[in-house]
Amino acid sequence: MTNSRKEFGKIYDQYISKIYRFVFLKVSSEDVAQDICSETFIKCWEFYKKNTIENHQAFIYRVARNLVTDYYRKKGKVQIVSVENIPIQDPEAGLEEKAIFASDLNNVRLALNDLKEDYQNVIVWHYLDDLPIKKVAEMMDKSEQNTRVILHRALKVLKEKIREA
Amino acid sequence: MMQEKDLINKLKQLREVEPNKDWVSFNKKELFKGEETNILFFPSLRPAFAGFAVFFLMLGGFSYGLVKDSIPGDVLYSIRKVAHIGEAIFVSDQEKPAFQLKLANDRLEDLSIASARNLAPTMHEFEANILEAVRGLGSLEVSTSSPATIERLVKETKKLEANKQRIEVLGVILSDRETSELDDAFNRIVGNLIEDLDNRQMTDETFEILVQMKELFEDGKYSEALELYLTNQ
Repeated sequence: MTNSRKEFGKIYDQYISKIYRFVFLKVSSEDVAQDICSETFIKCWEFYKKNTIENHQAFIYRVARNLVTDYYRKKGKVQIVSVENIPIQDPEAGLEEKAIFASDLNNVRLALNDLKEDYQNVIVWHYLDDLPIKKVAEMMDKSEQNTRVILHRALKVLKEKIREA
Repeated sequence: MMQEKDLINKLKQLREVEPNKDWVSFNKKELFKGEETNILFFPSLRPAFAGFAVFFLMLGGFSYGLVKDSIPGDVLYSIRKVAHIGEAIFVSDQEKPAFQLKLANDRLEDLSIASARNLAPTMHEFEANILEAVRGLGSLEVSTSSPATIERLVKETKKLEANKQRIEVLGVILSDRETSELDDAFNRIVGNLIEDLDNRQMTDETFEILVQMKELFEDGKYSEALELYLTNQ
């Protein structure tokens, strides 16, 4: 049990920030993201104690995705995001630049949140988590070729949404 | 229009979305809270630990049984006696006579199973308990004692009478010395009680009860007189 706890502790340290970001970009609320992240790791830990998990990353993301889906299903919510929600700022920039930077970035975030789930996931995993296409393909349970096509379409739709904003 | 390269750069800047560090650490602690942190973590030691636990539980149960069944004269009785002394420390002065009578009753019950070898030490213990009870009764005032205290006293006194008769059937006759001292003590406390009641203003009903108590007192039925007093409180 001590070993399992130590090992899972490392897995937690490795993935908590990524899972939080992944969830936050979908729910746009710090509190909800924290709740879903906590539940994700509780469920994974319970499973981990009794079972062997071959691909930790894929497993944790799958649990998080399911919980996000549950969250929207239970609340009967659609994924609507408020522009005021947690603006992101570049600490190096001046006031005006900060405002432009934050505004641009928030637009990207809102547009990303407006994409369908597959598109969101492929973008987050490849560009934010730096996963190679091969890994992303495994996570999506699709071929590498298909994943490249999905990524290409996702970026195209994202650009359109930002332009419309 | 934003170029793809710019868009990818913007996306990468979203990496700045980070959870609160305090929350991350708190959440990790919460995750493992309540998990076992002792020897049970070592799976290889579990069977041995379980074996030891069962062994000690059985040993404890067996020893407890031996001590509990020991009677004066047995080696293990000293442990039982220490337990009684320990118990007595937590008994209030008001409760002491009933407690000592209970121990005296235990000794009378022991007598019914005592071997010839254990008879003398058991009798000795009984006498000691009765003397302690008498000493306690010397300072007991029924009219100011709680009904629960008197109730326990009555219960143990009646039980003592029943036990006395039971061991007499088995051929063990108690000396009159201890029981007569106990009778004297009860005579005093019931006498004081009647005197106290006599000085109170009474209804017809309480007067009738007092008359009945006096009759029981005259007959030496002290515990019954106390019982009558209790049931009409």
